[in-house]
Amino acid sequence: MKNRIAAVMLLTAMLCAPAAQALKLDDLNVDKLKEVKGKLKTLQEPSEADEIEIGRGVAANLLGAAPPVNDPALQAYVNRVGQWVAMHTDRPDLPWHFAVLDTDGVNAFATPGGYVFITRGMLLRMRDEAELAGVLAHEVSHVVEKHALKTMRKGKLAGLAGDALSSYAEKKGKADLTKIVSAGTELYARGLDKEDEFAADRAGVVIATRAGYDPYGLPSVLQTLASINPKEDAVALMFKTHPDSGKRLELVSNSMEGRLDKFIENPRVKSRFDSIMKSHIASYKPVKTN
Amino acid sequence: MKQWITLVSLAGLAVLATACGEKTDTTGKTGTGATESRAVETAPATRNAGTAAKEPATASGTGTAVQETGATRVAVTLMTTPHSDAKPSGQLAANTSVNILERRGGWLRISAKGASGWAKLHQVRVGEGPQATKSGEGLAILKNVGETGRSGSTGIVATTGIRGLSAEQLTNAKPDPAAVKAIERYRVTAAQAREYAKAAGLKEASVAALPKPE
Repeated sequence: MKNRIAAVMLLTAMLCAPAAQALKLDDLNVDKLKEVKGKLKTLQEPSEADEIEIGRGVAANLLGAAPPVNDPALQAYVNRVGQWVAMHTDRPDLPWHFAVLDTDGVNAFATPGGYVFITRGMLLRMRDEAELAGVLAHEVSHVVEKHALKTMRKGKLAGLAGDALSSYAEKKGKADLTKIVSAGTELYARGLDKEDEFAADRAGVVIATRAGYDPYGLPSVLQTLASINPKEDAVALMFKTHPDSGKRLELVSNSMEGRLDKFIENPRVKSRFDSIMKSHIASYKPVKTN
Repeated sequence: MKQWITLVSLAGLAVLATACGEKTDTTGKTGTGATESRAVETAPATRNAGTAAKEPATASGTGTAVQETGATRVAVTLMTTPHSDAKPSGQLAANTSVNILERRGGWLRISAKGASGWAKLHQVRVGEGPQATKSGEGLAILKNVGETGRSGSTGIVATTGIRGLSAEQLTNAKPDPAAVKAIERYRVTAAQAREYAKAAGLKEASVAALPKPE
């Protein structure tokens, strides 16, 4: 393990140095490269059952940080909308679960295997069900495309989770699972690749439109986010872990231009959303946390 | 064998290059966000700054809907219809306060200073929608382009002091498996979801994936 860290640090140091120096490959320790090669070779794709087990563990951590809102009607509502959205993806049969987290933070998360979370702070800033469906569709697409797992295997977290992932796929060791779940949770504090976020915006729009909603639900939410003062603590984590909302809005709008016009008369479903939110706001009691 | 190693090392280098680049980027952003938001921790009065602007417009709104207001993010050429090739119907300077009359696809019908017409979503800053106002938990909304929160060029931009979920809270969270069981009880079946969609008049459609922009 120490050797590997050394190898990674060496590579990183060379990379961050000017290009001319970074290409002096003969300076590299061949033994260490062999080790890197071996590691890449053993990385295995987790099975769907593994994926759900990992996602369930990460979900337990996220729920440990922010409890679910104590409002069964609201939770049931978000599950109906989310399930419908998820049925319009390539993985309709995953055991999808949706929940509203009791925090004023404005954010949404999805863990592998189909656990999707939206914060109460984000829900309060929406205008209609099409906006909710758009955000859930963005999250659902992260799950369908396995963006989190991909980042754990290939990206910045590979050193932490990559080995454990392949070892878990083979041996189902409890220690490996703990390691993966902990690295997986870390991912929500760091964020996914920017390109994956842009891809999830495009996919989210398409999924929500397939489900029958006005395609502009997600872009409307991005417009709202782009209008919030970035100094607000409530948006700090979301803004840290995602590309600029204005940029996201511009990119997704450009991709949509002229392609989805025949769907813009699709329902926004405002009255149902308003009535659920009205009851929620009237009866809201924050969950006590320690 | 040697070729394999070179290949692998090049792949590794590419991944690390990305890591390097991103690291710089994130650090820059975090630095600004974290330090400044603490520096401008605020009085509840400022909370109203974002929402107050919406209230006077309420009376002129149609029906029970709360009329939204906003401000142009850039100089906007208003269009007579919601289409890029429509005829222009007016011009608004950046940072003009506007009333939002209607939403249609990627367009907003807005009016200000005697002019009205259609502008694109990304040309306008908006409020947070009526629910945030009703719950009394509105956040501060940017009104001016200068208020990016990244520099002090327009003076202090006040925030509401509403706390979000932090990276530390996530990283240090103790797992709550009971809460997972609790939320799993809310799962609905495909049939329930379908019925609920039907009640709202949602019609499934076949839609091709969107292209990645150039």
